[in-house]
Amino acid sequence: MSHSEEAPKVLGSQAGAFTRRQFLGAAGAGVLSLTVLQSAMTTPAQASTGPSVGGTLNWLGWSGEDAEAQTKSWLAANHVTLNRTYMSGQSDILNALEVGKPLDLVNPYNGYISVLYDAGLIQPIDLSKVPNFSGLFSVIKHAKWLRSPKGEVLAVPDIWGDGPYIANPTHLPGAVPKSILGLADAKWHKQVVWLDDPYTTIYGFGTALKFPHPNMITREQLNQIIKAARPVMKNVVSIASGFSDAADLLIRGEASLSPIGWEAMLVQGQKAGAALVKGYFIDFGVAYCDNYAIPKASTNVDTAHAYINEVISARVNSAVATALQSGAVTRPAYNDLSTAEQKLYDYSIVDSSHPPVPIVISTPPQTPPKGIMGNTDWVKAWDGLKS
Amino acid sequence: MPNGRLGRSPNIVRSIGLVPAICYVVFALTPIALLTAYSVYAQSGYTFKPALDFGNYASGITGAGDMSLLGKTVVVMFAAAAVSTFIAYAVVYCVAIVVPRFLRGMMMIALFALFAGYLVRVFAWRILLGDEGIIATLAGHSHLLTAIGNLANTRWAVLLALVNFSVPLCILPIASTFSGLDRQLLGASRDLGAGPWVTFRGVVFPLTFRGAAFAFAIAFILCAGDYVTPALLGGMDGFMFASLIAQQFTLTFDWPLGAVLAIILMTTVVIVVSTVYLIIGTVARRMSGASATGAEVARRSAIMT
Repeated sequence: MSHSEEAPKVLGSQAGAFTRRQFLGAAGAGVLSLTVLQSAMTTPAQASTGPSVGGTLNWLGWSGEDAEAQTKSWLAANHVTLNRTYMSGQSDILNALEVGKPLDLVNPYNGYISVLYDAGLIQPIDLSKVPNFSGLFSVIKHAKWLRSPKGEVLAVPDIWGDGPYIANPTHLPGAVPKSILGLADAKWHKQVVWLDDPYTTIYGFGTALKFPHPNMITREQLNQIIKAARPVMKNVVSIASGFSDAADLLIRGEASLSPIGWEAMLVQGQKAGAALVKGYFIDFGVAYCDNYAIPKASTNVDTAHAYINEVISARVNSAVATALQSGAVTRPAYNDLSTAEQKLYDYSIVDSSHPPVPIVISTPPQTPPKGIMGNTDWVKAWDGLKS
Repeated sequence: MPNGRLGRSPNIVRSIGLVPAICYVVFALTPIALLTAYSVYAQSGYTFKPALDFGNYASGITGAGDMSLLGKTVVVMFAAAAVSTFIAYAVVYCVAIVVPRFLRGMMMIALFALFAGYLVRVFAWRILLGDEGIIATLAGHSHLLTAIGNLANTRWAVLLALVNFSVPLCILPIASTFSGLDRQLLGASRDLGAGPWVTFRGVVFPLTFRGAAFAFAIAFILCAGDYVTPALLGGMDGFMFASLIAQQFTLTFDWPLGAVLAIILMTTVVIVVSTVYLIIGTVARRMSGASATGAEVARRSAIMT
């Protein structure tokens, strides 16, 4: 018996039963009809490309600023999968984009936006897709560092901070001096833990020495900074790799002061049973603002915009600010904070025409103008201070 | 039967044998080749372009700070590798001579010790040596413990942690060579009236020095590239050459200079390891030569036994 004689018995027991080929033909015709019908029903407006939200968002940034915990419902409702990678430093963004890692959102701080723009790696933000941008506090909304030379907005702030020092009062050898230069005193020997941050360090000492533009310094000015910093660095017991590392040393009493600090260290201290405190030098410490930017090579731009808008919504932004012990970036988000959280930061830094501490670019240019020290010079100076 | 199963096997075996070689070329040599290519690229802003620019070699070699940092790194890491090798060799020797049946067990224990994880050990040392650590707590009036407690955030803390990490790694190759040591030679040497030192000098060390050299190589290679331990335990003395290399890729974006510094470190490691191997081999040969007659007699005696 041939196979062709078998087939009708397999597909149907009656003579004239549907063959496999007939079935496939009918199914194909049906699908084609449905497609044509769907297209015919679509209005011209729907047929054109509108914003489409969904798919995967590849995100690179600081742990916690991804806001995935706070945006679970939005992600589910919009069928978005947030694919997070946490970075250990700003350079991770540049390195990742340079080697072609597919990314839709990156998380630079305010001084790094221009770096990414100069390297041709990020695209302007379409503010029509981020309506919550209008609710940003005035200082950050109109900040120059947020924009390209042509005035395009290159990123959207998500949190900010004010650069305090953090101390363990039970181990302090005396009152913390008002000026960072006061830490050169012998009583601070092996009492200071310093964050491994060349930029805040050199910028900070430049501010202490009253240079007009501490991120654009000459060789002579850099030498003055090294000379002023060296006696202070002699009192440093350890260079911390991160805020958590610095907090650990403060909690265990191996150091009593971290000149470069973050309010989250207070929470870490609380959990470990140590009552750390914060304060401010009059001439050291920089306020900063972290942001979301969209790489040029992003393949999900609409969803990236929509996610940024959700992250700076009142509910989400206040939750993220609370979780990270950082400042909220919009007035509605600020209003959602508890009284204690509102008092954690001086919001005149972001909402005043004369902020007490400016949010600045504390990094030097990679390719500086003639006579100005660049990135390599700063890092080399920092290496010399550390060793 | 040229076309039978037995005739085909050598070709299949040869083909399968190519796989590890290909893996080695792809995963070991290719990255080094890429690094070498990067070392002659030219940096421009935040990017670098293919070029044949040897200026980075001049910068890397003649930079005074770079070479003194290299020297400091080599000294610390050499000390860590040497101490680790010595401790591992002494431990294995004692076990191999006194309770040889525990030699394999000791290798397993050395392996288990590695399961603890690298960062866990580093932080453990940080806690041990801290101002409120157990050593400081027990120090009391003990000057020795007080001195040890003051090691936190110094080069000595780095050395302690590196030795702690390297000793189990060193034990493995040394124990492996000892497990191949013919105990009849030791018995013959004893029967001929040689004491422990003569037996060690004339028989044991010449037959096991390769394990010691290999152990040193493993420890030194791992320590030379380590910058996490110095950063976490070394305090202001924690900046090593490997940290400088990492900086070129993460802070200054000078990948070509970073590649040059990496090649300088690799070359230094090869020179140090080769030199140590030659020295240990020479010492072993001289030791065995000094008691050549005794060793030869022991060997013949063992054969006859």
